[in-house]
Amino acid sequence: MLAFFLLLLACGEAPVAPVAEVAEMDTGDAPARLEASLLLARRSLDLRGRRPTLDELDAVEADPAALDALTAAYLDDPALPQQMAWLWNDSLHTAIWPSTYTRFGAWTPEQWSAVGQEPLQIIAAVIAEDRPFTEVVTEGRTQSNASLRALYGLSGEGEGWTWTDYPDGRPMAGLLSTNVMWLRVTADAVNYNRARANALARTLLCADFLDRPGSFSFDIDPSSLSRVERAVALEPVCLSCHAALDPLASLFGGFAERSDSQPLPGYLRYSARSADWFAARQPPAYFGVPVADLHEASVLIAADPRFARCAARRFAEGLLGEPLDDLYLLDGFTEAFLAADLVVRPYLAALVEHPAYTTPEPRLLRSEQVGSALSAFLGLEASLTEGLGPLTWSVDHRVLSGGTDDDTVTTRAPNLGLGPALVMEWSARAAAGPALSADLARAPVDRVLFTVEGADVESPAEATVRAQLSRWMRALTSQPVDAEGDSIDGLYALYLRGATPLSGYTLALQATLRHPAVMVY
Amino acid sequence: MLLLALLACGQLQEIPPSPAAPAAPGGLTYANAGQPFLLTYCTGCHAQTLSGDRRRGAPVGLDLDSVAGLRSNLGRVRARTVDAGDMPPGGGPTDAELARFAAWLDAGAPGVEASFPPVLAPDPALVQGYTTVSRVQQYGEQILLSRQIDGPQTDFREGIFAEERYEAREGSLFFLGSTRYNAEGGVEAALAFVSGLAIAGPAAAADVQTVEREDGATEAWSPVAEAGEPLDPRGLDPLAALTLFEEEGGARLGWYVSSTVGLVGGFLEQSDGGAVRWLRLSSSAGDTPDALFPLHDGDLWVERTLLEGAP
Repeated sequence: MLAFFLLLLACGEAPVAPVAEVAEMDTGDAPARLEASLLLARRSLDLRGRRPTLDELDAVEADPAALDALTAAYLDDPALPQQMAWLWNDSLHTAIWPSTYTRFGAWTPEQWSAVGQEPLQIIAAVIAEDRPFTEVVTEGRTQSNASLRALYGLSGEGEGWTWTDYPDGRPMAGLLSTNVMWLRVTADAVNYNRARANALARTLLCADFLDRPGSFSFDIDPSSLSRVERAVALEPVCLSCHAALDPLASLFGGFAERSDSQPLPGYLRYSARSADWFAARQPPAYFGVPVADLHEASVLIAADPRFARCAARRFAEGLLGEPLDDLYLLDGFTEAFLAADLVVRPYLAALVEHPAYTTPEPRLLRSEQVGSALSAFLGLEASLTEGLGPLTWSVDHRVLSGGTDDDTVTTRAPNLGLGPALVMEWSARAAAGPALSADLARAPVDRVLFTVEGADVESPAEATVRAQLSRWMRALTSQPVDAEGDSIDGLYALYLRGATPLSGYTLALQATLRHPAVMVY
Repeated sequence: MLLLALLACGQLQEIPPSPAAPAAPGGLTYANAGQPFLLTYCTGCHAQTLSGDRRRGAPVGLDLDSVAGLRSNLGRVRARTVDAGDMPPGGGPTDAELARFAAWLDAGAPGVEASFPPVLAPDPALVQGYTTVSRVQQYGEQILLSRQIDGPQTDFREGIFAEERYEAREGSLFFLGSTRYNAEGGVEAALAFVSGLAIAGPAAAADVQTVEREDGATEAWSPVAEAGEPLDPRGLDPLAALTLFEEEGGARLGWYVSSTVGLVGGFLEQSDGGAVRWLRLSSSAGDTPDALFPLHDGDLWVERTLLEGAP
C-alpha cells in the first residue's frame, strides 16, 4: 500500500511526502492497535460517515482517554443508522440498482433512489429507534418518502422517510415485503421463486444454497421442465437443497413474476390469488416449519439463530472491511450481539473495541463514505446528481472508487487502485473551487474552510496560509501535520502559483483532496 | 446516551479478542454450532412439524428440529453426516462446517433447547385450548409472555371455561377483563375495564393503578401479590393458586392484585419497564414448540382456559 502511495505521489500533482505513516504493526505478542487519532478517524468514518473534527483530534491527541467519550458520541450520532444501512446494501444490493433498471421507463433520480432505499430505510429506522434488529423482518410497516409514496400510491405525509402501511394486504415481513426486493430478485415461469428464496437465505441467514459445494450427476434432460421439477421433488441429491428451498420459495408467490409487458402497477401489487396458487402447488414452510405466509415466516426468521449470527457477521464484515472467515471469531461477535439484545448500537460499541477492528492496517473508504466525508469537510450540500452526490449515487463514480453498482459489480474492491485516484481527481476539480467560493460567501462564524483568522484577506501572510493549509490536510487525513513540513511546503508552492489568493487556495485544496491518505482510514 | 445507559447496566459484552480462542469444542453449543447446521441441512425433511410427503422420505420419528431429537439420534447422525458423508444426500456442508458440527456432536451435543417456534396458523387444532401457567422471558426490551398450552385441545363447546382479554397498546400490555362461563355458555362472573389494567411495559411502572371498570366502579391495583395472600376471591380463575412467584430470565412473574377488591387476574411482571413486543405461547409438556407473536399497538387477543369438562 505504501509503495502505491509513493508511486502516486511521484507521478501526480499532489505535494510530496505523505503526512504520516499509519502505525507500524507491532511484532510482539499483543495485537498492534491503531494510534488513538487514527482510531478516532476510523470510528468517525464508520459510524457517522465523516472524519473527526480538528477539535476532536486535538482532544484525543492531548488525552487518548478522550477516545471513549467521543466514540460514545459517534454511536449516538444521527448519521449512524444510514451508515449501517449502507453496509447492508452490500448484501441487499437495492440502493443503486433501480438506476440501471429501465423496464418501466425513466424515473426521476429521486424516484429511483427512493425505490432502492426502501429496505435500507427500514434498517436505518430500526437502528435509529434502538429496536432489536430482528424487527427489520418482523416490522408490520414499510418506510416511504414523498417520492416513493407518489410512485407506489401509498399514503403518508412529509418529504422525509416515515413508517407507512402497504394498502394491498400483503403479508408484512419488514424489508422482505418491500417491492424493490422482489423487483431486484425476480422470478420467472421456471424457477418458481427459488431465486427469491435463496436471496432470503443468502442475505439474512448467510446460508446461500448456491454456495453448497456438493456435486452430483444430472441424468435427465434439463431442457424438460417437467422432468426437472420431478427430479427436484424426488431425487435425493436434489432434495438436499430443494426440500428446504422449494417450500421457502412458495412464500413469494404473491409478488409479480418477470414480464416484458406488465405495467408498473401490476408489478407492484401483491396478489393473494397468486400466492394461494403457489402455496397450493408447494405448501410453504420455513426450513421444516409449515407457515401460512411471509409474515409468519418472518417470526421464524427472527427466532432463527442463523439470523442473529448472520446479522452479526454483516455488521462485523462491514466494519472490518473484509470477509469474516473465522467461525470462532464470529461466535464471539454473535454472542456480543445477543448480549446487546440484538440492538445495534451497543453491539457496534463492542465491535469497534475489538482488536480485529483496531488493527493498524489501513482501509479504503467506501464510495458513500467518500461522498459524505467530502461533503461534510467542504460544506457542500449534495443532491443525487449535483455537487458530490455522484460519489454516492452515480454508478460510474461508485465503481471507479471501488464500490458497487448493485447490478453487475456487487463486490467492493478491497485495495486502493487507479480508480479511486481518478475519483478523487474528479472530486478535487468539481468541488474545491465551488466549495471555497461558497465558504467565502458565508458569515465568518459559519465558515467551514476558511477557519484561520486572516486567511481570507487579500494578501494573507505566509504563516496564515500555511496554518490554513495544515488544517485542511489534517482534517482530510486525520493525521498530524507540520505547518513547516514538506507537505505544506508543497501545498504552499501550489498556492503561490494562483493568480489570486482564491485561485491559489483552490490549487492547494485540489492537491490536498488528491492526496492518497484522504481515501484511506 | 444509550451507550452510557447500557454501560451502566452492564449489558455491553466484550468480544473475546483471540480469533482462534475456543479451538476446543467447549465453546460450541446448540445455538452456535448445532442448530444452524441442522436448520440449514436437515430440518427441511427431518422435522416433527412435517408429515407425509413433506418429509421427503425422512423416517418418521427421526426429527432433528430440537436438541433432544438430535441427541436421541446422535450416533446415527454422526455416522451418516460426518463419517459416511451421505447425508444430506447431495452434500452441502463445507469441510469447516462439518468439522465444527462433528466437534459439537463429539462433545455430546451440548447446549440448551432453543426456542424455534412454529407460528400458529389459523389452524383450530393448534390454537384452541390455552390454559395456564404463565411464564415470562425478558429479551432486551422485549418481554416474552408465555401461556402454556396443555393438551388435549378443546373447542370449549362443552365445559366451564374462563376467558381473559388483553391488548397491546403504546408498548405496554393491558388486561382488559375476564369472564367465567358456565357449561351452558352463560356468564357466571365477569370483569371488564374501560381502558385496561397495565400489566407489563412502561405503563405498568406505577406501584398502584386506579382503573375504571365498565360498570362504573373504580379499583386500585398493585402489580404483584405477596406470597400467602388470598388468591382470586372472585373465583374467576382457580388456577391462580398454582403459581405465585417465579424467577425466569431475570424477570418476575406474579399476580396482579386489587387492593380494593382482592385479586382478580394473574399475570406477569417484568423488571425494567421496557416495551412489550412479543407474545409467546409454549407447551408445558414440551411437545409443542413455542409460538412467538410480534405485538403491535392495537393487537387484541383472548385466552381461554378450560376449567371443568372434557373436550
